[in-house]
Amino acid sequence: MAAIELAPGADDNGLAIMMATMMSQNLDDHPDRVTAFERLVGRVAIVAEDADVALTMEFRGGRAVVHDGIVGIPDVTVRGTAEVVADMSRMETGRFGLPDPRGEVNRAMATALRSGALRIYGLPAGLPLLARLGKVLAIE
Amino acid sequence: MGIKFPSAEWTAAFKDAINANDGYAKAGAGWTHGKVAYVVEARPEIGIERDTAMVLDLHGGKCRDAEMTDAQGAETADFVVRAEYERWKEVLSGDVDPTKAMMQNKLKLKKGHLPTLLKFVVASKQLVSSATLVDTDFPA
Repeated sequence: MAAIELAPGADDNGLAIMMATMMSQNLDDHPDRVTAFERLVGRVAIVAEDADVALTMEFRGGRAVVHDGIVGIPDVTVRGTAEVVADMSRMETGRFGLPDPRGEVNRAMATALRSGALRIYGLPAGLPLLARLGKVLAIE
Repeated sequence: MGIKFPSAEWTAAFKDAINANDGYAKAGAGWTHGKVAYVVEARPEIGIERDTAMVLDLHGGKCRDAEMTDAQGAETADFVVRAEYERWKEVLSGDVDPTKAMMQNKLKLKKGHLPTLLKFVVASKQLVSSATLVDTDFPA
Protein backbone atom coordinates (compact mmCIF):
# COMPACT_ATOMS: atom_id res chain seq x y z
CA MET A 1 0.00 0.00 0.00
CA ALA A 2 1.37 3.41 -1.03
CA ALA A 3 2.32 5.76 1.80
CA ILE A 4 0.82 9.17 1.11
CA GLU A 5 0.54 11.72 3.85
CA LEU A 6 -0.15 15.37 4.45
CA ALA A 7 2.63 17.32 6.14
CA PRO A 8 1.71 19.32 9.25
CA GLY A 9 -0.17 22.43 8.16
CA ALA A 10 -1.28 20.96 4.84
CA ASP A 11 -4.62 19.75 6.19
CA ASP A 12 -6.11 23.22 5.63
CA ASN A 13 -4.89 23.35 2.04
CA GLY A 14 -7.71 22.10 -0.18
CA LEU A 15 -5.43 21.52 -3.16
CA ALA A 16 -3.05 19.46 -1.00
CA ILE A 17 -5.97 17.40 0.30
CA MET A 18 -7.21 16.89 -3.26
CA MET A 19 -3.81 15.75 -4.54
CA ALA A 20 -3.21 13.37 -1.64
CA THR A 21 -6.71 11.94 -2.04
CA MET A 22 -6.34 11.62 -5.80
CA MET A 23 -3.06 9.73 -5.49
CA SER A 24 -4.39 7.44 -2.80
CA GLN A 25 -7.70 6.63 -4.51
CA ASN A 26 -6.11 6.25 -7.94
CA LEU A 27 -3.51 3.82 -6.64
CA ASP A 28 -6.24 1.83 -4.89
CA ASP A 29 -8.22 1.74 -8.15
CA HIS A 30 -5.22 1.04 -10.39
CA PRO A 31 -2.61 -1.17 -8.68
CA ASP A 32 -0.74 -1.23 -12.00
CA ARG A 33 0.25 2.39 -11.32
CA VAL A 34 2.05 1.57 -8.07
CA THR A 35 5.29 0.91 -9.95
CA ALA A 36 5.19 4.39 -11.48
CA PHE A 37 4.47 5.82 -8.01
CA GLU A 38 7.39 3.96 -6.46
CA ARG A 39 9.72 5.35 -9.12
CA LEU A 40 8.81 8.92 -8.26
CA VAL A 41 11.72 10.71 -6.62
CA GLY A 42 11.87 14.49 -6.32
CA ARG A 43 9.67 17.48 -5.62
CA VAL A 44 6.81 18.80 -7.73
CA ALA A 45 5.21 22.11 -6.85
CA ILE A 46 1.80 23.21 -8.08
CA VAL A 47 0.54 26.76 -7.84
CA ALA A 48 -3.12 27.52 -8.56
CA GLU A 49 -2.57 31.22 -9.01
CA ASP A 50 -6.14 32.53 -9.03
CA ALA A 51 -6.99 30.40 -5.99
CA ASP A 52 -3.89 31.65 -4.17
CA VAL A 53 -3.01 28.08 -3.21
CA ALA A 54 0.27 26.21 -3.61
CA LEU A 55 1.64 22.84 -2.61
CA THR A 56 4.75 20.76 -2.92
CA MET A 57 4.65 17.01 -3.40
CA GLU A 58 7.78 15.39 -2.10
CA PHE A 59 8.39 11.90 -3.47
CA ARG A 60 10.83 9.54 -1.84
CA GLY A 61 10.41 6.35 -3.85
CA GLY A 62 7.23 4.74 -2.57
CA ARG A 63 6.39 7.51 -0.15
CA ALA A 64 4.81 10.91 -0.79
CA VAL A 65 4.47 13.86 1.55
CA VAL A 66 2.25 16.73 0.45
CA HIS A 67 3.27 20.09 1.91
CA ASP A 68 1.42 23.39 2.11
CA GLY A 69 3.14 26.00 -0.06
CA ILE A 70 6.51 25.75 -1.77
CA VAL A 71 8.87 23.65 0.34
CA GLY A 72 12.48 23.09 -0.66
CA ILE A 73 13.61 23.47 -4.26
CA PRO A 74 11.12 21.83 -6.60
CA ASP A 75 12.40 19.82 -9.55
CA VAL A 76 9.27 20.78 -11.46
CA THR A 77 6.90 23.68 -10.84
CA VAL A 78 3.51 23.93 -12.49
CA ARG A 79 1.76 27.30 -12.39
CA GLY A 80 -1.68 28.02 -13.77
CA THR A 81 -5.27 28.84 -13.05
CA ALA A 82 -7.30 26.53 -10.80
CA GLU A 83 -9.24 25.36 -13.84
CA VAL A 84 -6.10 24.41 -15.78
CA VAL A 85 -4.56 22.69 -12.76
CA ALA A 86 -7.73 20.64 -12.27
CA ASP A 87 -7.77 19.76 -15.96
CA MET A 88 -4.27 18.29 -15.80
CA SER A 89 -5.61 15.09 -14.29
CA ARG A 90 -8.24 14.84 -17.03
CA MET A 91 -5.76 14.77 -19.90
CA GLU A 92 -6.66 12.08 -22.39
CA THR A 93 -4.14 9.29 -22.91
CA GLY A 94 -3.58 7.87 -26.37
CA ARG A 95 -1.24 5.25 -27.76
CA PHE A 96 1.79 4.20 -25.71
CA GLY A 97 0.46 6.11 -22.74
CA LEU A 98 1.20 9.45 -24.35
CA PRO A 99 -1.24 12.39 -24.34
CA ASP A 100 -3.75 12.10 -27.17
CA PRO A 101 -3.43 15.32 -29.22
CA ARG A 102 -7.04 14.95 -30.38
CA GLY A 103 -8.40 15.03 -26.83
CA GLU A 104 -10.58 18.00 -25.90
CA VAL A 105 -8.80 18.57 -22.59
CA ASN A 106 -5.37 18.09 -24.17
CA ARG A 107 -6.14 20.72 -26.80
CA ALA A 108 -7.25 23.10 -24.07
CA MET A 109 -4.01 22.40 -22.20
CA ALA A 110 -1.95 23.08 -25.32
CA THR A 111 -3.77 26.39 -25.74
CA ALA A 112 -3.12 27.20 -22.07
CA LEU A 113 0.59 26.48 -22.54
CA ARG A 114 0.79 28.69 -25.61
CA SER A 115 -1.10 31.55 -23.94
CA GLY A 116 0.85 31.37 -20.70
CA ALA A 117 -2.21 30.37 -18.66
CA LEU A 118 -0.18 27.24 -17.84
CA ARG A 119 3.56 27.38 -17.21
CA ILE A 120 5.81 24.44 -16.38
CA TYR A 121 9.30 25.07 -15.02
CA GLY A 122 12.03 22.46 -14.71
CA LEU A 123 11.72 20.85 -18.12
CA PRO A 124 13.16 18.96 -19.86
CA ALA A 125 15.09 17.56 -16.88
CA GLY A 126 11.89 17.04 -14.92
CA LEU A 127 9.95 15.43 -17.74
CA PRO A 128 10.27 11.81 -16.49
CA LEU A 129 9.11 12.89 -13.03
CA LEU A 130 6.16 14.80 -14.47
CA ALA A 131 5.22 11.98 -16.84
CA ARG A 132 5.19 9.41 -14.02
CA LEU A 133 3.15 11.73 -11.83
CA GLY A 134 0.73 12.25 -14.70
CA LYS A 135 0.27 8.51 -14.93
CA VAL A 136 -0.44 8.23 -11.20
CA LEU A 137 -2.94 11.10 -11.22
CA ALA A 138 -4.69 10.39 -14.51
CA ILE A 139 -8.45 9.96 -14.46
CA GLU A 140 -9.83 7.48 -16.93
CA MET B 1 -38.87 38.12 -3.45
CA GLY B 2 -36.82 35.02 -4.16
CA ILE B 3 -36.87 31.57 -2.65
CA LYS B 4 -35.17 31.25 0.69
CA PHE B 5 -31.91 29.29 0.75
CA PRO B 6 -31.62 26.67 2.13
CA SER B 7 -35.18 25.32 2.05
CA ALA B 8 -37.27 22.52 0.59
CA GLU B 9 -38.69 25.02 -1.92
CA TRP B 10 -35.22 26.07 -3.03
CA THR B 11 -34.18 22.45 -3.38
CA ALA B 12 -37.21 21.76 -5.61
CA ALA B 13 -36.46 24.86 -7.70
CA PHE B 14 -32.83 23.75 -8.00
CA LYS B 15 -33.98 20.38 -9.33
CA ASP B 16 -36.15 22.10 -11.94
CA ALA B 17 -33.28 24.39 -12.92
CA ILE B 18 -30.93 21.42 -13.37
CA ASN B 19 -33.46 19.63 -15.55
CA ALA B 20 -33.92 22.76 -17.67
CA ASN B 21 -30.18 23.12 -18.23
CA ASP B 22 -29.07 21.61 -21.54
CA GLY B 23 -25.45 22.15 -20.52
CA TYR B 24 -25.89 19.87 -17.54
CA ALA B 25 -27.80 17.30 -19.61
CA LYS B 26 -24.77 17.06 -21.90
CA ALA B 27 -21.97 17.29 -19.31
CA GLY B 28 -23.68 14.99 -16.84
CA ALA B 29 -24.90 12.43 -19.37
CA GLY B 30 -22.33 9.89 -18.22
CA TRP B 31 -23.03 10.34 -14.53
CA THR B 32 -24.22 7.04 -13.09
CA HIS B 33 -22.32 7.31 -9.83
CA GLY B 34 -25.12 8.04 -7.42
CA LYS B 35 -26.51 10.78 -5.27
CA VAL B 36 -24.73 13.99 -4.38
CA ALA B 37 -25.39 15.84 -1.13
CA TYR B 38 -24.61 19.49 -0.44
CA VAL B 39 -24.41 20.09 3.30
CA VAL B 40 -24.83 23.62 4.65
CA GLU B 41 -23.32 23.93 8.10
CA ALA B 42 -25.52 25.29 10.90
CA ARG B 43 -25.68 29.08 11.35
CA PRO B 44 -28.33 29.64 14.09
CA GLU B 45 -27.95 33.42 13.98
CA ILE B 46 -29.46 33.50 10.48
CA GLY B 47 -32.01 30.78 11.09
CA ILE B 48 -30.08 27.69 10.02
CA GLU B 49 -30.43 25.87 13.31
CA ARG B 50 -28.73 22.66 12.29
CA ASP B 51 -26.68 21.23 9.47
CA THR B 52 -28.95 21.17 6.43
CA ALA B 53 -28.47 19.08 3.31
CA MET B 54 -29.79 18.95 -0.22
CA VAL B 55 -29.54 15.47 -1.66
CA LEU B 56 -29.64 15.34 -5.45
CA ASP B 57 -30.41 12.06 -7.19
CA LEU B 58 -28.46 12.68 -10.38
CA HIS B 59 -28.42 10.19 -13.21
CA GLY B 60 -27.67 10.39 -16.92
CA GLY B 61 -27.75 14.18 -17.13
CA LYS B 62 -30.97 14.59 -15.18
CA CYS B 63 -31.93 15.19 -11.58
CA ARG B 64 -34.41 12.44 -10.78
CA ASP B 65 -35.17 13.72 -7.31
CA ALA B 66 -34.02 16.31 -4.83
CA GLU B 67 -34.79 16.46 -1.17
CA MET B 68 -33.86 18.59 1.77
CA THR B 69 -32.69 16.67 4.78
CA ASP B 70 -30.24 16.86 7.66
CA ALA B 71 -26.58 15.88 7.93
CA GLN B 72 -27.51 12.33 8.85
CA GLY B 73 -29.74 12.07 5.79
CA ALA B 74 -26.89 13.34 3.65
CA GLU B 75 -24.83 10.31 4.60
CA THR B 76 -27.08 8.18 2.39
CA ALA B 77 -25.58 9.96 -0.61
CA ASP B 78 -22.58 8.60 -2.48
CA PHE B 79 -20.88 12.01 -2.50
CA VAL B 80 -21.08 14.54 0.33
CA VAL B 81 -19.79 18.07 -0.11
CA ARG B 82 -19.82 20.24 2.98
CA ALA B 83 -19.31 23.97 3.51
CA GLU B 84 -20.25 26.95 5.63
CA TYR B 85 -23.31 28.93 4.57
CA GLU B 86 -21.21 31.86 3.28
CA ARG B 87 -19.17 29.55 1.06
CA TRP B 88 -22.30 28.03 -0.47
CA LYS B 89 -23.63 31.53 -1.06
CA GLU B 90 -20.45 32.43 -2.96
CA VAL B 91 -20.51 29.27 -5.04
CA LEU B 92 -24.24 29.07 -5.75
CA SER B 93 -24.32 32.75 -6.70
CA GLY B 94 -21.67 32.03 -9.30
CA ASP B 95 -19.12 34.29 -7.59
CA VAL B 96 -16.62 31.49 -6.89
CA ASP B 97 -15.84 28.52 -9.12
CA PRO B 98 -16.56 25.23 -7.29
CA THR B 99 -13.20 23.69 -8.23
CA LYS B 100 -11.37 26.75 -6.99
CA ALA B 101 -13.45 26.68 -3.80
CA MET B 102 -12.43 23.07 -3.25
CA MET B 103 -8.76 23.92 -3.77
CA GLN B 104 -9.15 26.67 -1.19
CA ASN B 105 -10.78 24.19 1.21
CA LYS B 106 -13.97 26.26 1.21
CA LEU B 107 -15.89 23.28 -0.14
CA LYS B 108 -14.91 19.99 1.45
CA LEU B 109 -15.50 16.58 -0.04
CA LYS B 110 -16.41 14.53 3.02
CA LYS B 111 -17.45 11.38 1.21
CA GLY B 112 -17.00 10.03 -2.27
CA HIS B 113 -14.50 9.21 -4.97
CA LEU B 114 -12.59 12.36 -5.92
CA PRO B 115 -11.30 11.11 -9.30
CA THR B 116 -14.89 10.50 -10.38
CA LEU B 117 -15.93 13.95 -9.23
CA LEU B 118 -13.04 15.58 -11.10
CA LYS B 119 -13.88 13.62 -14.21
CA PHE B 120 -17.23 15.40 -14.11
CA VAL B 121 -15.87 18.83 -13.28
CA VAL B 122 -17.76 20.38 -16.19
CA ALA B 123 -20.99 18.84 -14.95
CA SER B 124 -20.27 20.24 -11.47
CA LYS B 125 -19.95 23.69 -12.98
CA GLN B 126 -23.21 23.23 -14.84
CA LEU B 127 -24.92 22.33 -11.56
CA VAL B 128 -23.70 25.62 -10.17
CA SER B 129 -24.87 27.41 -13.32
CA SER B 130 -28.28 25.88 -12.72
CA ALA B 131 -28.29 27.19 -9.16
CA THR B 132 -27.56 30.73 -10.33
CA LEU B 133 -30.80 30.63 -12.33
CA VAL B 134 -32.88 30.08 -9.19
CA ASP B 135 -34.26 33.36 -7.88
CA THR B 136 -32.64 32.99 -4.47
CA ASP B 137 -33.17 34.90 -1.26
CA PHE B 138 -30.05 34.43 0.86
CA PRO B 139 -30.84 35.23 4.52
CA ALA B 140 -27.51 36.98 5.09
